[in-house]
Amino acid sequence: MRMARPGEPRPVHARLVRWLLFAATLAVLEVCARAGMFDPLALPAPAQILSALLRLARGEEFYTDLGRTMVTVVAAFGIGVVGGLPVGVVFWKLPLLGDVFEPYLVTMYALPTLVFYPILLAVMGLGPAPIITIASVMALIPIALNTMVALRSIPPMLPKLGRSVGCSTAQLYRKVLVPAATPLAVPGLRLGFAYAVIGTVAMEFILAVSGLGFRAGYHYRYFDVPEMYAEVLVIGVLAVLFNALFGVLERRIRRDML
Amino acid sequence: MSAAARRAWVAAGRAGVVMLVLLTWAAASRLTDLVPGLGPTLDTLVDGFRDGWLEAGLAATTKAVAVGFGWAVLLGFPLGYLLGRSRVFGELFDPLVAGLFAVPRIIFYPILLSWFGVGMLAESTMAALSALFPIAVMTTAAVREVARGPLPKLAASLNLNEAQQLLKIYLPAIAPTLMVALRIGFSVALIAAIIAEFFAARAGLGLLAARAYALLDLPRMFAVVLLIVTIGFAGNLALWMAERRLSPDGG
Repeated sequence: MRMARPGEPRPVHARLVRWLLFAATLAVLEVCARAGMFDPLALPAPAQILSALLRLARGEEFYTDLGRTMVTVVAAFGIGVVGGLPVGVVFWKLPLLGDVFEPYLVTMYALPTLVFYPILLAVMGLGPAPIITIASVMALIPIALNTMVALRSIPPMLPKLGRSVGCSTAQLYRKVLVPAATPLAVPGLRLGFAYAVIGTVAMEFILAVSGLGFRAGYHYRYFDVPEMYAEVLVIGVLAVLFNALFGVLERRIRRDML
Repeated sequence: MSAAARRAWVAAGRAGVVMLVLLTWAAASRLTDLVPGLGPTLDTLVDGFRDGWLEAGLAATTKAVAVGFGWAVLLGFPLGYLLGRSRVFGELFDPLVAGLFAVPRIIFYPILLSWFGVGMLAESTMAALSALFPIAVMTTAAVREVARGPLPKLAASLNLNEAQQLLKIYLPAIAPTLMVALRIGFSVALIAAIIAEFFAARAGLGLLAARAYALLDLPRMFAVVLLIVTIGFAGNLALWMAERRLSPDGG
């Protein structure tokens, strides 16, 4: 095993090897599935999954599900940001309040918020509202927590310096506090987005009537195994794409700040 | 304000939050039939333990979470450590692990069901799969942080072998982060097990809640929800306090 050492040249072919490994895995799966080594109801051949995906992409239902899931995720994330940032700022401004609520915010991660879904369903009906509510709460928590931590970790010298050069309060926020807090607050946004996706898909999965998460479970119940794999694949690819997008954004913002 | 007075205020405030939640619940149960009162819910909880149905569900969920969490630690920590220490593994598998970390893992549950059938194996695998990636990702990040510092030079100058480096250098240095990873892992394993049981299971608290909901047996549903929330809250709080004790600034 080679150990990481600073100054050692990066392996140039990592990307190539990665794709080769990926292709080899697919090929092995395809051959084994065709040879009848797997139960087709458990693991269909990759080619079958691909043709199921193409079949789905020709239908209208797929785009309804996709749209519903995307709208829910974006709405939940939006509410999480609009609610979470001010909560983080308030908990930073009033440290006593922040200390009171911190253990609850931290443990909210562990509360399966989704157990409240049946109750929300009874109150709000079988629309997107209960899912958006739960997913936005899940997105809000990491955003609020990270914002609080980010603001608390600003060295007190910076705002003092700002005041000493005569910053107004608005200028202090815009020119000093926001840039100083951003490197720690942006990972909170990224986490919040991941939680919005998880909340949405999980809710759709257990008790919804449309959306990609629902459709994966639906195909399972009707033994459409290749279709089920295709939906899982779509959700996976979407999640990875959005995560990569946030990664690029994060690096860009950090480069601007530091 | 003195430090002692501040601590007292914080403790009072935290107790106040619990009171506020209970009062809101009581008020909501007065306002709507959808929310049963505190009394009937607690009665159902006690009855559930006396009659045994709640205990069976609790045992099934606990087992799924414990087995899943155990496997997630056993596999996630070495995986994360390897990715952090070995440049080759890191270069090759970083994107894969980061990608899987971002995917809502619950979506693999139908696949697990078609592999293992409905039952404990599918649930505990689901819990393990969910907790594995947060543990691995946080371990990798912590190991890389240590590797950037002065400690590896110390290890080299002392001629420590691989096992000694793990036990004497890395493990103590990443212990605080590891505690965070374990807490998040536990939370995620619990949530995954409950969602899995909601979808399809033979026993468990999630299944009990889903059934009570289907029958519109609200006191029973609230009793199960209360139990789930208490387990998540208590487990997480205990791990959080251990974590603060371990953290460098002493919490």
